[in-house]
Amino acid sequence: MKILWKLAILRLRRNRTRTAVTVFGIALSAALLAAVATLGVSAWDYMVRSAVFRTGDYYVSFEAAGEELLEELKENEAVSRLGTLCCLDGEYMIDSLGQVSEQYLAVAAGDEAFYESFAPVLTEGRMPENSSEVLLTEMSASNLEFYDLAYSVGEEVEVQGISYTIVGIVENESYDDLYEAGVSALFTVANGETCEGNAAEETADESSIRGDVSGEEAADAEMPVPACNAYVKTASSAAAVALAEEYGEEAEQNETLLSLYGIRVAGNVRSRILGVCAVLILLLVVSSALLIHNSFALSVTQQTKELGLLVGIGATRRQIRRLVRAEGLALCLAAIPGVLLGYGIVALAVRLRGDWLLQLVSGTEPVVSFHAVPNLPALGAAVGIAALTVWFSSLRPAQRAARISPMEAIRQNDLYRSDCKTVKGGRRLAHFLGMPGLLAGKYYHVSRGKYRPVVVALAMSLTVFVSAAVLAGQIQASVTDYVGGEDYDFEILEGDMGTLRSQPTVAQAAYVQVQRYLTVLPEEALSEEGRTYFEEMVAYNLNGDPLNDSLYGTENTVEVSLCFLEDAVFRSYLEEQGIDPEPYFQEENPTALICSNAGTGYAVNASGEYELQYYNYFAFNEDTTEISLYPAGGGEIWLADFGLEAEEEFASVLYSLNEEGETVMTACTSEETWKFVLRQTEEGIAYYLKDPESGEISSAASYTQMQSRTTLLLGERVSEVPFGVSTGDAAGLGCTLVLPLSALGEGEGAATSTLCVTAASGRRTSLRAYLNANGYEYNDNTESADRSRTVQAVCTVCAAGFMLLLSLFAVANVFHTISANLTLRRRDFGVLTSLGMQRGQLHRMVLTECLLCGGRALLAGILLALAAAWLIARLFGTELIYPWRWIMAGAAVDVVVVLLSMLYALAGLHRFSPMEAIFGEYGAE
Amino acid sequence: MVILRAEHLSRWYGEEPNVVRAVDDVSFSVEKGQMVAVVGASGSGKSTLLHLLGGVDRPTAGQVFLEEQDVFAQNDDRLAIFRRRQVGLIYQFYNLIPVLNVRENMTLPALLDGRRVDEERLENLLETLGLKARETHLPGQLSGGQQQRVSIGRALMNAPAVILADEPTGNLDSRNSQEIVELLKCSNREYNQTMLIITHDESVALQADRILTMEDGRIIRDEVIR
Repeated sequence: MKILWKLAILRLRRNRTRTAVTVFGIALSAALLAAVATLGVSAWDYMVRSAVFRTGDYYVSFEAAGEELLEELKENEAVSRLGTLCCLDGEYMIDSLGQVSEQYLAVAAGDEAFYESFAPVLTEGRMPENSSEVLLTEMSASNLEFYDLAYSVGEEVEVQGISYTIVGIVENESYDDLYEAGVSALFTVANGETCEGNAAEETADESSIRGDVSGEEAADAEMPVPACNAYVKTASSAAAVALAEEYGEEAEQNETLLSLYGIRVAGNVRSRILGVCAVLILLLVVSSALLIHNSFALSVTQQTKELGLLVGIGATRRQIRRLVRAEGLALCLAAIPGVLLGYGIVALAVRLRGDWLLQLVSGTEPVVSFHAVPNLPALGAAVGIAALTVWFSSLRPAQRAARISPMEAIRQNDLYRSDCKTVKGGRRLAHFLGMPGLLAGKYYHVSRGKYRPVVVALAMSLTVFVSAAVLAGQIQASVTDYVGGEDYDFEILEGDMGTLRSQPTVAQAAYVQVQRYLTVLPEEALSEEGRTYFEEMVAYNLNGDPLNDSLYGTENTVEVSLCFLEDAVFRSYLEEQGIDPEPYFQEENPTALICSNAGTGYAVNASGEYELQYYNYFAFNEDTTEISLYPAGGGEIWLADFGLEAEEEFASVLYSLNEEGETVMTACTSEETWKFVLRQTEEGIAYYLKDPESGEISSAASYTQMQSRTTLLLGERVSEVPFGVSTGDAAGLGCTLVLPLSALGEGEGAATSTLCVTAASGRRTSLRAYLNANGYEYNDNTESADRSRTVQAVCTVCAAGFMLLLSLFAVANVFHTISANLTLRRRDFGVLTSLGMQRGQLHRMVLTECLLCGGRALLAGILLALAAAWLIARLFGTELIYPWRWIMAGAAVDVVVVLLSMLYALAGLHRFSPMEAIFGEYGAE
Repeated sequence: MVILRAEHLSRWYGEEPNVVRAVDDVSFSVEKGQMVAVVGASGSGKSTLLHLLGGVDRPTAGQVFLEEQDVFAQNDDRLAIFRRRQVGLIYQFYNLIPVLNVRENMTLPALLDGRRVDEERLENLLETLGLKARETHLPGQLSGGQQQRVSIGRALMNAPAVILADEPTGNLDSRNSQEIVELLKCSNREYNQTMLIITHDESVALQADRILTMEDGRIIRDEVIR
């Protein structure tokens, strides 16, 4: 009905504050949803274009496709594009025996469909127009330089006596994979017809070929038989997989591209990206829904009299519901500019900084540009989600509005609860605060329902704030680990380290010596994430074969990097972390700090594919407080050292535990195996030969090591490693432990000994110059350190921005709810003032109410925040670190918001005299 | 003894030429123990005058003296203290605090003052007002007449210098109205309580000692009945 729409618009116009707050919430949530959707679509588009650039726009390829196969593919309905590349000629190296050694130059002709699949990106020149014109790839051009051949656009190149003119240079990496590494390829057009195909059986290395770089002609050489490769694109990725399965080994799938369409990105990185997006959208929807719901609920309360009068006049309950929902529909329109704003901001940001960000994360220049892609379905979905949020948020208030009775409206005090016999609360507060405390307690008790939206809003704001902070921290850590890089600029290997540290260009320095050990643990001492890491990352090498006969072949063997860190740096770090340093510095058997192993690596998944996995684990569980250390060898022993004689001098070794819990070293040659039991002696570690039949231990062979450290007490576990300490280098299961440098025994050696240095701000170049001038040997980590620091900074800024935006929702919600609730009680405040309540007493009363409300919200918010932090830690597979700092910060923000809301509302109330406050509804005579 | 005195009291709203003179240069005085009825048509300025006398609203011009104390020479805090100690306000629509029961509503001014409640006086008032059986009830559980009694009790509890009642029977039926008026008269007699009562009801006005008639913000007639 028109009148309902008119009333809805009038109500919105009359209550400008509430309308502005709601419009703000809807527009902001729609903008953020649009931004997330646009970023997701654009990122996916970038990945597809990158994949196409690197591998070509096809799904399945057939090498050396015969005529029959080509015909079959042409007739296959699932095939939407069939491109062919026919190999024409080649130039081969001839060895001293006159035999073909390797091909170094090739010419191939592609048809039109081929060049659609492999759309050339020309850095110079143009496309060939006939079969005597060719394209040269950039990689090929650099390969040819190896043979002292340099070609450029316009020059001619001769292949098997035929001259070709180079008309363009191609940048696409996909062209480089069409031939074997080292072969320079020239591409021409196939006269507009597809190749007829030729299933060549003879390859070049089976024939003698004329011609070589020097121009000599070999006698009786036969020409190679040209082969034809086919590149197929199907209507869908599923059809491509079916086609490949149909042809079996003849077909090869373009996994790089297909994996994107199958939404298979990379291992747990994918699940994290999806999880992050899901959490972001959930936080957005919850925040905006709360804001909008509260806004509608308050509007209904404020307009109780008017709505009741409408019912009294004759409006049906259905019409009242429609009235409230009409407001919602009108407000939904705010989603459209919000979506446009969100898309616009993302498009601008990507345009200005997209490629820079990609280069920062990947470490290399992006192969294709990153730009925002307007995706109407995604933007439409953002509008839809925002609109649905408004719709559902207005449902409950609409139902409540429909239940208002005319009498309730006339009485205009729905705080009266006729079924309430007593109002509890306030007695204890009265003891401390007098009448204001009593009133505050009673008002709070009666108005619990009214305050529920405030409690929920405050609790959710704290939860959202903490969740966003924890999520940001996890993303930051993940990205930083993915990017890699150390937290120091230079790693000094040799040189006068003492003088260097005193240089003004040095901001921070730490001296580290590292020893390598092994420890062998019983099953139950390993942590769950360590065991998982081993199963996923170590059990298969990159070729997909299980490791065997290796030093790292058991999950019980842990590589230990023992870092002896400069005392002052270590002590300072421990104090910063709130860890008591004394156990770590005790002279007898100091405790070692345990650092988590974190980073990225490739693992083979269940489908046999390599996936990029992010890992972060502690090798030991929390119950493991002591380990035994054994020197880490090179995987082999010199048999003579053990008094053994064999044909071979060396034997490979493997460590394990026997049933008695003793460490056993198994030494193997190709013919014999020996077992040694390791035992601690005063001199160090002794190896006792174990008789394989009787099992008796003899002391006939023993070997002691210079590195005499045997047992180590384990202390705190930390994820943020001290400056100068590196982790994540183990080939198998590893851990990094830190001790003070003073714990290093006299005469003990170390595998590495470095000074890690960070330059003072803006002095990096000067420091580098100093190192070079003074003959220091060093590793320059500045680039990776810069990347790591910049990524952290970008993540921090993005996280702070996201937290700020989410907090805006909560702040607006709480502010509006509290101030509106207080304004609704204007009459009561007027009565109290007229009866003699002083301003200070009024403030105390209101403040006490707000604190009662806030206290309840704080309790709920802390519990929810901890639960959210736990969920996010589970999502990332990391240990829960209680976010107390963020909880306190969020609580402080909530307190400030509540106080400001209260003061704002009271300032508004104080503008009215008691008489105006009391009679504002009725009008003074 | 003059307990209440208004001198050239004015309260205007708005600006020229659209100014509304709700109270326009009103001057009068009230003796202690007097019961004064203020009558007049709607919009004559009765309620505005009452609120000015009670310190609930500040005048545009003029002064009010209660027990020779210039009411508006005080700041807001002092004015609030003044109201809860010296003035008893009774409204047409009761204006009880909904979360406080009868006892608490009646003792509210004393509690705001931080003083101990005179239990004997409270018990007497509860008995007198017929609220003893309802003393723990909330306003929402009382009838209109009962709520107005509570309002009267609240006004009388601190034995203020003056009681100001704005249409105390305006929202009640005739029987309750009569009872309320009787209570007010009783209080006036028993406690020598000075009262100003705004009323449209002629029968109520005739029970007062003096009638002030207002029109267009001015007192046009000051009639002593007894």
